[in-house]
Amino acid sequence: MKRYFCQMFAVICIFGALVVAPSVASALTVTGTFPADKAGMAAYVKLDPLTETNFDNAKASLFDSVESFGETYMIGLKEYSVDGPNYNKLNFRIYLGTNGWLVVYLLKDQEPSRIVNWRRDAATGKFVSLSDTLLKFAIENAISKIGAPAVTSVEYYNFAYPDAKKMTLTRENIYNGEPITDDFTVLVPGTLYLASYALASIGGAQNTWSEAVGAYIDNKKINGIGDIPFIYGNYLAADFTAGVSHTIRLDKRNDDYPASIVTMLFYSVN
Amino acid sequence: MNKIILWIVLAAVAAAGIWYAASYGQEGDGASKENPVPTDKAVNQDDGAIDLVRPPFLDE
Repeated sequence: MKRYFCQMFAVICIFGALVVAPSVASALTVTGTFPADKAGMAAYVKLDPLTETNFDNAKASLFDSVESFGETYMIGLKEYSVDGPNYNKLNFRIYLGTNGWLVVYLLKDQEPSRIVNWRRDAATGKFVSLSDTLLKFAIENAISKIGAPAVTSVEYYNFAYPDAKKMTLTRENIYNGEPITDDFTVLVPGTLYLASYALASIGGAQNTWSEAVGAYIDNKKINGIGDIPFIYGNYLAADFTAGVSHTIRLDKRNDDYPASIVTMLFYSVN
Repeated sequence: MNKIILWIVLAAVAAAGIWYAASYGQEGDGASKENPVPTDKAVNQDDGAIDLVRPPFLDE
């Protein structure tokens, strides 16, 4: 009888080790408070542990609305202007954790190129640097609003492409008075996971032309802008491939308004 | 002997032509060689490769 119980005990232990323990571990992983399965392009920082005051500040002066919350976190929505004026808005989701993590992110189905900051220098009219992304802007704004100390740098990650280890933003601008067409070539090494674009036509909409700005890859149309200043999309995987030099061209109808195309690449170098 | 010299000259000219074509085709105005980017030409020099870092909180 004793031997029988020992055998039963051994069977239960083995069952526990093989079935129950992994299930518990998996449950612990998937019940983490950050929605990694829904997030796409993101920027994050690690702050000191956040206090109740920080969360109160977020509710009072940062979030437009609170999407979800728990004992250790809060996720809110915040609308930001993509270019400075009070139109052309973009909603970011902002995650705050009591352990100090602050994450600003887009959803998985939103084009990563939406993080391009279209603000321009007031004196020169030139677009601000690509490194001044809207995500960086939103992180700095969120830190200020919740009353936490400023940080010197932010990290980027794309939850939709976890194998991508590098991100590059490259752009072609055509300002007023410059030739109305220009191009450049791009060669991505290694493995390319996604190429995303953002296209701008500042003031071209005042014209009656159906398309003020057009963008092309290897002479194939990517997209064009009519009466809206900014559009976003992803290149077709068949059009933008790694290991091949591609020509990106930007065309305008006239030389009296600025235009730009920003290409955002997610890749890993083998 | 003359044929050998001729072939050497032709090979040198062809190599120079290939090198020039490759260089010309990959660059253009405003090319920046300083940026650590995977692009062979960076027109407006804003470019820069950024490391994508898996957030540590995913493993906490």
